[in-house]
Amino acid sequence: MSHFSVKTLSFYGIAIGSVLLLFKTVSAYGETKLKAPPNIDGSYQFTQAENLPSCLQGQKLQLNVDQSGIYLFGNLALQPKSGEQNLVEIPFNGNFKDNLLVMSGKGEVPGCDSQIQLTIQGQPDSHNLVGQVKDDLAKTEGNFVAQYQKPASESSESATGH
Amino acid sequence: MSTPVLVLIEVLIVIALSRLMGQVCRVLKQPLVIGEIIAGIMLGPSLFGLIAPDLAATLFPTETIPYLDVLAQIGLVFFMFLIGLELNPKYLKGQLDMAILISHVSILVPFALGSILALLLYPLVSSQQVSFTAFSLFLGAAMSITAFPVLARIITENNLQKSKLGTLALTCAAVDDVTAWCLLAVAIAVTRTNSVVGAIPTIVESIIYIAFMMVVVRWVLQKLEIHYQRKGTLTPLVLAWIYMGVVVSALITELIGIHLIFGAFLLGAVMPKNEGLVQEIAEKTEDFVLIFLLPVFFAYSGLKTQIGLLNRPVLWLLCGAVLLVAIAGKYIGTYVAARVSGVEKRDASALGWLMNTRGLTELIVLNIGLKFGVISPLLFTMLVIMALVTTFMTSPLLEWIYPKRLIRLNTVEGETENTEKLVPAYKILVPVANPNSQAGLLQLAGAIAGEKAAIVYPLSLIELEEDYLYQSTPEAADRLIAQRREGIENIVTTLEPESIRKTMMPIVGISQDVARETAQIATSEQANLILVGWHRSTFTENRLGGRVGQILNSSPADVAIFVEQEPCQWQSLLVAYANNIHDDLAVSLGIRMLFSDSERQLKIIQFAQTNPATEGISSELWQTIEILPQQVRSRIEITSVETDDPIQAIIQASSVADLTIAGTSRTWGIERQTLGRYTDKLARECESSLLITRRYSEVSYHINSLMEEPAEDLSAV
Repeated sequence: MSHFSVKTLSFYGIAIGSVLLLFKTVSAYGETKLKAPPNIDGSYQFTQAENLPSCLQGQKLQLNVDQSGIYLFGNLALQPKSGEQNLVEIPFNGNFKDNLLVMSGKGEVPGCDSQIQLTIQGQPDSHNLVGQVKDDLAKTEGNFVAQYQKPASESSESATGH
Repeated sequence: MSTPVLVLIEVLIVIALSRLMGQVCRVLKQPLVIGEIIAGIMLGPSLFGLIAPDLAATLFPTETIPYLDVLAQIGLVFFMFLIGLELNPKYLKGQLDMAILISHVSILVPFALGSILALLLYPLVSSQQVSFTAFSLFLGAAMSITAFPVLARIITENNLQKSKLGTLALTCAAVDDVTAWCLLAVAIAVTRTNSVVGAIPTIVESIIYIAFMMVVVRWVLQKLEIHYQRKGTLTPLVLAWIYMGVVVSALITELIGIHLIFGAFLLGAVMPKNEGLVQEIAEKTEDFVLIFLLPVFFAYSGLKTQIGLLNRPVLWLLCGAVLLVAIAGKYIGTYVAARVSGVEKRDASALGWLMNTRGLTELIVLNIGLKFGVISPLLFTMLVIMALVTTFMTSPLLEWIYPKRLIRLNTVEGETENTEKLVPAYKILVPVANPNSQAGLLQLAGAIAGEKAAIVYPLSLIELEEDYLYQSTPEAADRLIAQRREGIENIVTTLEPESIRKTMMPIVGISQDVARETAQIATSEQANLILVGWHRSTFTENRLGGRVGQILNSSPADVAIFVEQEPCQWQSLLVAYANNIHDDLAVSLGIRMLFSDSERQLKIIQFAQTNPATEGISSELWQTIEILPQQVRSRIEITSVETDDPIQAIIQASSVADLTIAGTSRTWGIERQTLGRYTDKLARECESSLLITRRYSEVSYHINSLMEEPAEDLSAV
């Protein structure tokens, strides 16, 4: 027996019609009114940074950013000066809203007397990141410039996810 | 370490962990796929990378990931070919119109809700590079998925494949599968061109290719079917051509601009559904793909899944919203459409939960989305959690909505239309693993049951090994069931006297856990006795190893274990009696056997005489013996023996008996579930067949049904 009665066919027709209409409306609204953040995924090598904790001064710092929309994950990596030293990574998390990146993190760094806690606020400037880095414990703040390296996603496929 | 060596070590770890987690999931009555997905996640940054980052980075370094990706893609292409191959048009018969309606509405509702959810998620978790339309299309598609292979497995395992609900769910899932792949193809086309208009050429090319496959390639494949029928076997050369066809078709769909998997799926779908041909291709392909390549795909997905990204309450709230929309959309869509189509409430509800199974299919869609960048790693993780939860919840919810008891009732009703008024007073459940070797067991069950108002359920449960193996598909499982049923029915036709054959009502089905299911059936059928064949475990010294031991441990009914020597008519019965409830059961079964054969004699040897008035027999049982009909009572002989070695006395007495019956008492060293050293001796040296009895409840009625007013003969009911 066929179940395609007038009742089911009209139900079917109304259901498909409504969803198509809904999708058209939603996508029209989304395309015009909603803005997703631009892509800032990648690694940024610090070329200049003021007022960093003394134990970080002179270190090669790199901010790795994994972006999922406005949510940022990643780490601040301290590149080893020699082959004997290990790479140190401080996990950083934050947001990217209104073209402003805010990421913070804390961790132990060899050579530093105590744990360090930093907050980075920056804005993308062509391929670089420019802004302020704040030492949350010492309450000091300074400007920084970090140069874009390459998308973090290309180097984040290892199990560590960094 | 060189990269190939590392990749091989990775594969080794992946397969081992997948198998391990798969087994854990089998114990939890969950599909294998859940274990495989969890194993993949465990190997990634969510667990392994978290607890041992250095070791994880050493074992899964960045440079090996592309190799895993290649293996995963090859696995996926051939897996999709198998899915298409096993998508039998048979599913699209019968209730197709109803299924199309339910299936499409079950896609439309989550798709619509997914599009609305995109309004919330797009500004939060997407990026400017992705258009809103592509994002919402993908999210809608991800919400609409139903995993046909996992659903088919769940249905088969619950023995629902023949029921109205099962066939409807399979048809809905098959329609859903095809529709969802089409939707995904559109979503990919839109994503690649970033606009609906730009995607139109791809969509048109795809339609042309589908038509080409359905007309030209199907015609060619029909010639192949004729060739196969002539040869009767699939030669390596033909298989090579088929595999080349899979790869070529996959490459064409990739070139068109959709994805590799569609071409492979299409070739499988248009392949003629010749039973032998499909079975041979599937069996030759599936082992390597499912055991070796598919776990690599799960591991690859797991490496991309970072549960650690959900590190803020707001992100867990978003994950909850994704989960809610996915579950509610699918359930409400299916339920409402099913109710509109006239499906009753319980079935509509069960269908709603069944269609929520997303499993592996969802993971395939998500990986494509992640690769195209249309979904971010954070959303990918949320959707993987959603896929896991929706797949995990299906089996328990189905059991809740549709308990096994109701499924069995449904099946039995269909099978035994003529005996639906049957109310047997005595029921014996006989688990039969291999019908060919257990004729004696069924013969004994018939002798205990007798001909009047009793029923014997030869129970044969089949455990399936893998989720996606060809033998796990509903039609292959049906064939297995039919074969097993035929085997039992053939044995039943050999039973004597002929009149006991009509008391045999075989129950055959698929089960995840034979011992547990046997116990459930014993409860639901209110079996008076479970009669099992003796079985020595391969791995332990326990004589009641393996299944028999498990059944003994979990059965909520009286159990008797049969150790057969020589097949005979059991004219001379011997009961070793030491006055406990298990021995009472032994005597009761002996008496039942007297009723079924007027020539049969029963000798009770009792060793611990405590009450001379009842000749050492328990007073409750003695009362029953006293009121037995004279023609039965006169064939019982009770003798006392005083000895320090009762086992030796029984072994000696068994030389003139056909069947010795003993309770699981301390006297025989067979307390609890294990056969100890003494019983081992009894089983080994007993010169007749042996029946060991264990009473479960304090009160049991094994003779009462024979003592009451003569009940109607089963054949007359």
